[in-house]
Amino acid sequence: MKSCTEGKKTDIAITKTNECSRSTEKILNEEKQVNQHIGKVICLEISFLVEYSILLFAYTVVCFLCWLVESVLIPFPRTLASNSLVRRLSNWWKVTDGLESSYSRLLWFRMQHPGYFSSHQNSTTSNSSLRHAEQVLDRVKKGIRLKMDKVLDAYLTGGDSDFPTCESPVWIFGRSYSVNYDIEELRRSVSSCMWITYRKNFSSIGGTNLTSDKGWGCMIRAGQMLVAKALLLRHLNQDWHWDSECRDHLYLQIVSLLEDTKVAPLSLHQIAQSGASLGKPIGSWLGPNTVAQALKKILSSEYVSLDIALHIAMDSTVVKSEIKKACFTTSGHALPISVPPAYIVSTPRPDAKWKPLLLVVPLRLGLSDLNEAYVPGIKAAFEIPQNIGIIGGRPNHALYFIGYAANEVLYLDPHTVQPTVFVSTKLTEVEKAADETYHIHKPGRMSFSAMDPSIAVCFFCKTEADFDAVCSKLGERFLVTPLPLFEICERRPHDWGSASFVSSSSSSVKTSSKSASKSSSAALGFTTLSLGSSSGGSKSTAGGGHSITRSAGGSPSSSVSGRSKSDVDDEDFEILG
Amino acid sequence: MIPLYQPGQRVREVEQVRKEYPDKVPVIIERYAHENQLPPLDRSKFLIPEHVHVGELIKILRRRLQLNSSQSIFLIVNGRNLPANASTFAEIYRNEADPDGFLYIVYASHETFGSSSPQECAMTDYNNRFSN
Repeated sequence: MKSCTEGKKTDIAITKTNECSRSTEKILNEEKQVNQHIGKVICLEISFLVEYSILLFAYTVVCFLCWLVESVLIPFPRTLASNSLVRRLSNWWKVTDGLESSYSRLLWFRMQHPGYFSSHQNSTTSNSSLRHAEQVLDRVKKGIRLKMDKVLDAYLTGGDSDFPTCESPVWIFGRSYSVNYDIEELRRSVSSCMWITYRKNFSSIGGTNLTSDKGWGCMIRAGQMLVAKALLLRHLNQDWHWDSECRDHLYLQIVSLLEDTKVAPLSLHQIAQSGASLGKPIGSWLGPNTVAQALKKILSSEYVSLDIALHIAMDSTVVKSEIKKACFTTSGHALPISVPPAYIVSTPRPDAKWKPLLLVVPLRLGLSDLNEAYVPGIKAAFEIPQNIGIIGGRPNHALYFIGYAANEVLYLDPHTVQPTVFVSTKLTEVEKAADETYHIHKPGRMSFSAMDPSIAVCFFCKTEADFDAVCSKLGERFLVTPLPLFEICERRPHDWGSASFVSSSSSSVKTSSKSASKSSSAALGFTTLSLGSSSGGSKSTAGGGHSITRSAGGSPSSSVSGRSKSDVDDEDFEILG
Repeated sequence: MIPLYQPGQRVREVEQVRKEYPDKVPVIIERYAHENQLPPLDRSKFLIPEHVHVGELIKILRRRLQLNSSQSIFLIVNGRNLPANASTFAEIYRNEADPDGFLYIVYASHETFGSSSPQECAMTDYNNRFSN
């Protein structure tokens, strides 16, 4: 007996130790997996860094060789070589800066994803996080390559030519200029446009302690440049241009609308908070559409009376009747009593009945890269006289595109951090210097193919005739381009229009239910998604449609559907429409 | 993203479905891999009647994904083209269908832009969490 129980005990003990060893094995296994995962990630990072140190080294060597060639072969080595050496050195610093920023990006990614190193729950999550890491590294690589390309390009072209020297005209805001003959006029039209950049040391934005928008506010700045351009066109003469002595009170008023304070209606603060009310927290990155929506919210609020109607054409469709209705009914003449006087800019309208329109058309012309087939369409948009640019950018880098030359797109870049300044009346030297920080003489340029596909094309129509001209000209141009950028129609097509949608949807439900009953889709286990909205009228018909499908399912199914059931049922097709 | 199939399986599937529904086109609709603002769809395979317009599909997707009118959604066919809103699925299918018989559509909203110092963004999120 005793020995028997003892034997049992030892048995239990053995199983226990077995269990113990099994669990330790499990832990060890897991640890092994984690180690492997960390190893993989570290390998990725090391290979990434090595690759870029090699690139950096190669760049330095190229620079050195160029310098050598120049200093030996060119007759005046001292001045020229020293000049270009300085330039190259500064460029070199830019590249190292790029490398540094990419590494900081990596660190940030690790901060954001605690599972980056330690996802060991199961192999799928660790795989996906590894894939995610790869994707981030890829994006960083692409960014650096662009930066280095740009630096090399700047070096090869001498770094200081603002426009490409070519025979084809330069188009800016719908006007063409020749580089050879109108260069002064061209520069003036660029400097007359407000250049709004990152600022630092402004009063903190409500609820946060952010005092600079470096790294996140670039899209907002691009939006500010757009609205500034529209305001200048709205309230100043067509031939107004900026110079360092300009003290036009309307111009100064417009500048004060955009300065970085809490109260200025078009300040970074206001736009960021308007974005926050659209679900984008202050400090997060925005897209062109969100910025346009935020601006729309500000411009249509009661407190601001700038006499501009901002219309955003969603779903790549410009519906003329809707826009005309909006511009004719909203009268900007009778000013609300509650408006604080600082926010009013009032000049007579050229067309008293028409509220000047800022038309924004958000588009996405490709997935990760811009589809080249749309480039002629973009050029066509730039050539419309009412065009006031495109807000967009290159990946992660928002820009305000103002025109194009040959195969390059010209832009104003907000990525320069300047201290916050106030122009106010522009009487003192300090205020004059402050005004200078809002203008730039040289636009940046890059090839169309480097553009990010997410853009918003913008037009400013001071009168109804302007708007009609935009529609007819774009219509003509889009007919001959390989792919039109967007559509222009008189009224919303009733098939998917909001007003007459219910009736058309009920008819389509009927047809779908008819076809469903014909092919006895319910017998196949398909679900039919009805077009009907949640509004009452269509609901009942949608319900009717369902009942028909169900009754069809109840009826004996044909031999065809019986056969296909085994093949298609598990594939789970859903019938739309 | 797309489940792996044996070669020829999709072709057979499309043949089957086309035979059964000659007036509907098989379409695969997916969220763009880098999309982070729009929710995913619960399924990806759809049969769309040939007479349906792209505009109608956008309308359906807007309701399906519960988007409000200020959110942007774009359909990209074959990873390259924006289909015209007025074109029907019969036309698009004729021009853009994959050799395997499906029409591949990806939906995405606008890309967001921000640059070099993301630590600050992380800090902002951190601050927001505390200020709330």
